[in-house]
Amino acid sequence: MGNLAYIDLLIVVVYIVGTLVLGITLGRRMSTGKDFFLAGRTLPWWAIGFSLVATDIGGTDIIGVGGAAYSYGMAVANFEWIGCIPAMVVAAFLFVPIFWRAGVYTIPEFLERRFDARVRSALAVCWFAFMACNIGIMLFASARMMQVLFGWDPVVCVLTMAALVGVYTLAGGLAAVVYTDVIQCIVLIGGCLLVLVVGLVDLGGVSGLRAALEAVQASGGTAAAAHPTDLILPLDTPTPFPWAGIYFGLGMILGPAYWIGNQAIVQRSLGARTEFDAKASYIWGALLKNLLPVIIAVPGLIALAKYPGLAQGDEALPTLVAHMMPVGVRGLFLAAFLAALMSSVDSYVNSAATLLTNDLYKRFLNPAASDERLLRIGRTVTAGLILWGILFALYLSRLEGSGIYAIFQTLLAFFQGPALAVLLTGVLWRRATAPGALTGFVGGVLCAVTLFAMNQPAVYGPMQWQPLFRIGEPFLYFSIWAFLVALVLVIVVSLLTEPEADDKIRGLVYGRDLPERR
Amino acid sequence: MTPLHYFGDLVRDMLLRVPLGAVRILFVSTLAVLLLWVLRLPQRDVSGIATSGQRHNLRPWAAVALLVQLVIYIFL
Repeated sequence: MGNLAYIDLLIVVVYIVGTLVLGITLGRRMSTGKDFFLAGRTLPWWAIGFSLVATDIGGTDIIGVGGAAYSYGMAVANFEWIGCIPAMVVAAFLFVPIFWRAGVYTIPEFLERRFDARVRSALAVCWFAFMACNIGIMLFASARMMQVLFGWDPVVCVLTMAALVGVYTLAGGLAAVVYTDVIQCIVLIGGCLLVLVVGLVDLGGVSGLRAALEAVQASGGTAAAAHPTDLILPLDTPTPFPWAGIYFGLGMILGPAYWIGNQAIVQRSLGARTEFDAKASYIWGALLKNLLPVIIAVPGLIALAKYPGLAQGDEALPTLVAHMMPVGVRGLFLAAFLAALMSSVDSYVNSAATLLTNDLYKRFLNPAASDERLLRIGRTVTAGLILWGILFALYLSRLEGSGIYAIFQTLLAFFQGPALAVLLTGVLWRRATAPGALTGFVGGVLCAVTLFAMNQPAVYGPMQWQPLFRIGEPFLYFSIWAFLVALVLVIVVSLLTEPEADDKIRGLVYGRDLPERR
Repeated sequence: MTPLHYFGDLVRDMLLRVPLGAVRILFVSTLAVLLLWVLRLPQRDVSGIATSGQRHNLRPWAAVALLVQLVIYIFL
C-alpha cells in the first residue's frame, strides 16, 4: 500500500488541514475550565453521538478488526454489537441522565458525591494511570502499523501524530475533540464504506462473497474458514471469542463498564447542552454502531475470499486496499485510518487532563482554584500528557515484541469489572455505602490480580499446577470474576454498615425523586 | 490443583454441555428482554425537551437499535 497517488495524498492533506482549522477556531472561544473540560455544556446530541463512535474506534482497530475477521470470522463483530449496543441503551436511560444532572466533570467526582473521597481517589488514580499509558500505547501501536503499511519511520509518525492532536486538543479542549471527531467519524465511515462497496462489487455482490467464502471454507485452513459468518462460537473454539467470554465477560461486564464508567467516553455526554442531548447522543451512537462491523469487519471477509493465504490477519485490509482500491479510495482509507487514530488519542488526552486537574489538583491541592486558573492548568496538563505520550511511545518502541498492548488490556480488565460493580450499586441501590464500595473495588481488583498471577507460568509451573484458564488472553474471564467478587463485597459490607443519609444521595440514585432539568 | 482449579473445571464442563442452539436463545432473549424494558420504561425516562423547546421521544430509536441487533443475532 506504499504507493499513493497525488490525489490520495491531497485527500489526506485536506483532511488534516480541515481538522486543524476547526480545532484551532473552536479554541478561540475558550475562557474557562468549564469551556475546556465540558465544552461549556453546549454540545448537541448528534456531535456527541459521532464522537462516541469515533473515540471507540482507534487506528489499530480499523486494521485489527478487519484482520480478526480475516483470521477468525465475523465473531469479532460481537465487540461492536453485543459488547456496545445494549450497554449504550441502558446507559442512555439509566446512568447518563443521573451523571448529567449531578453537574460533575468526571465519574470519580460523581463517586465522591455518592460515596466518599476514598472511592473517588481510588478510581481516579486507576483511570488516570491507564489513560496516560494508553496515550503512549496508541501512538506507538499506530506508528508501528504505519511503518508496516507505508514504510514510514515510526519515530516521525509518533512525533507528527502527537503534534497534530496536541495542537487542536490544547487549543479547543473537549469542544475541539468532539467537533473534530464528527469530521473524523464521517471520514472513517465514508472511507471504510467505499472499501466495502468496491470489494463487494468486485466479488459480484453479497452472493458472490458468500460463494467465495464457501470455497475457502471447503479448503479449510484458517480458524475463520470454519465459521466465517458465525457470531456465536463454541466454548472450545480455537479463536479468542468463545461464547461464554463474549456473553458474560464482554456483554455483561466490559461493555457496560466501558460505556458507563470510562471517563473518555462519558465525559462528552457530561458536556451536553441538555439532559435530552445527553441521552439522545447515546441512542444515536447505538444506531451508528449497528453499521460499524459491516463496514470494518466485512472487508476482512472480502480479503479472505480474495487473498486466502496471507500470513497475518493484519495484512488483510492493507492488501485489499493496495490491490483492489482505485486511486482516491486509497487516500480516503488512509484518511479514515488517521481519523480513527486521532479521534481516540485526543479523547484520552483530554479526559486524562480532566481527571488530573479536577480529581487531583482541584480536589486536593487547590480547592479554591478559579475557573480561569483551571483552564491554564488544564492546558498545561494537556501539553504534559502529549509530551509524556511521545516519550512513552518511544520507550515502548525499544521493547521489541514484549506484548505490551495485551498487558495493558489485561490491566484494564483488572479494574473495569470492580468499577462497574461500584457504579451499578451506587446508581441503582440506595443501600450501597462508602465502606462497601471501597471494599468491593479493592477486593475485586485483588481477585483479578490473583487470577492473573495464578495463570502465569512463573507461578503455576513451580507448583506443578495447570493454568487456571484455557485460552491465550483470558482478560474477559478475569473481568467476570473480579466483577462478581466486587459485587458480593459491596452488598455484604454495605448491609453491615450504616446507610448513607437520604440528603446525601438525593438525585444520585435512580428513582422517582429526580426532576427533569434542561 | 487448587480448589479454584476444581471449581473452574466444574464451571467449564457445565458450560461445554450447553448446546449452541440454547446459547443463541440466551443471546436473543437477552436482547428481547432489553427491548421489552425499553418499551415499558416510563415516558419521562425515554423522552426529553430539546433546545427548541419541543419534547422528543427516544423510545422508537432505541427500539430500532435493539431490533436490528435481534435480527442480527437470530440469523448470524
